[in-house]
This record gives sequence, C-alpha cells and structure tokens, in this order.
Amino acid sequence: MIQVSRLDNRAIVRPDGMEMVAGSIPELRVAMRGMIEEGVRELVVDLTDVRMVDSSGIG
Amino acid sequence: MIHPARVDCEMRMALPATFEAIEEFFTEFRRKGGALLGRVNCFTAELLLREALTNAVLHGCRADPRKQVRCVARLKGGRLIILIDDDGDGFDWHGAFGEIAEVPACSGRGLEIFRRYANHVRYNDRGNLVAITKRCAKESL
Repeated sequence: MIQVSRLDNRAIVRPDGMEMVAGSIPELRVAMRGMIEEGVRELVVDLTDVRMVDSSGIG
Repeated sequence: MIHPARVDCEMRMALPATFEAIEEFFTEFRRKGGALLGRVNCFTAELLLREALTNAVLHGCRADPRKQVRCVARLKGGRLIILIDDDGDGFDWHGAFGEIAEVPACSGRGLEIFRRYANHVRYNDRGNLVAITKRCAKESL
C-alpha cells in the first residue's frame, strides 16, 4: 500500500509493506508521476518499511 | 562439516513469463529457503534470483505468458547455484556486461547487481540461460 503525506508542493511517499521490484514498481511510478503533474516539486520516498529493492526499484 | 558434493536443498520450477508467477515463486522460496539460508544469504539469494527472473520474464520473453521461464536454485556445499533459462531469443551479453548505467538512467543496473553480489556469472552463447554462483556467508553454515 502506498501512503502519501502532502504539504503544499512537498510529498512523502511511503510504500508500506511493498517491495520495490519489477512487478510492483509501475504502481509506484504512476502514483509519483501523478503527484508531479499535480505540482509536487519535492518528493521524498521513505523506504523504512521496504524489505526488497531490485534494479527496477532503483530506476 | 559439509561435504562439498552434498546438495542441501534444491528448488526447481517452470513458470509462465509473468511478474505474478515471480511473486508466487518467492512465496515458495522464502518458505523453503529462509530458515536454511539465514537472513543475509536469503536476501542476497532473492536479489540475484529476482534480477535473473526479471530479465528472463521482461527482456527474454517480453512478459508473454505463453512463454516459459525455468529456474533451479540449489544450495550445495555452502554455495548457492542459480540456473535460469527462458524461451526468449537471448541477448548480447558480451556487449551488455561491459556497460555501466549512468546515474540518471532508468535501467541497466541488473548486471551491476550481478557483478557486486555474485561470485560467478555465466551465460550461454545465445544469452537465454544464466548460471550464477554465490558463496554463502558463514551465518547459514
């Protein structure tokens, strides 16, 4: 589940319990692109509860 | 003492070339391999398997569910051996292995993960089969 905290043009994205891997990264990418289109200019991704990041998750 | 010829654990699986099938594979992998491999080795094993399986599904088979990916993960004498092949056409690994992804690049880091985490990586000529060897850290032995 992707949790988002917004304040003006800042956002913190927290992919709770998700793995940032090839199969799940499109969902996160769509969410983040949507925020940028809505005017977010400072985007923080909080990886505290992410167990696995593969090369797709890095980018 | 672990005999070098002894196979401690082996998983063999043929899966359709989909990301859903990869996640099903890891549900089974963690159940079987988690206790045996230990925390650090299990993470490394999963990362290497993920990169190889993702390459096979995404680049090898273009995520076509009619195509198949075959995977063997074998723990033997303190070494993890991963063999993955797919129904795809393969790729030019000779050229790709020397490339390093630029910081802003959106892809190309899978082989870098192989370089940093695996002890040996070998492809067949066609580039649709990879064999990866990783010596396991002491915690699992």
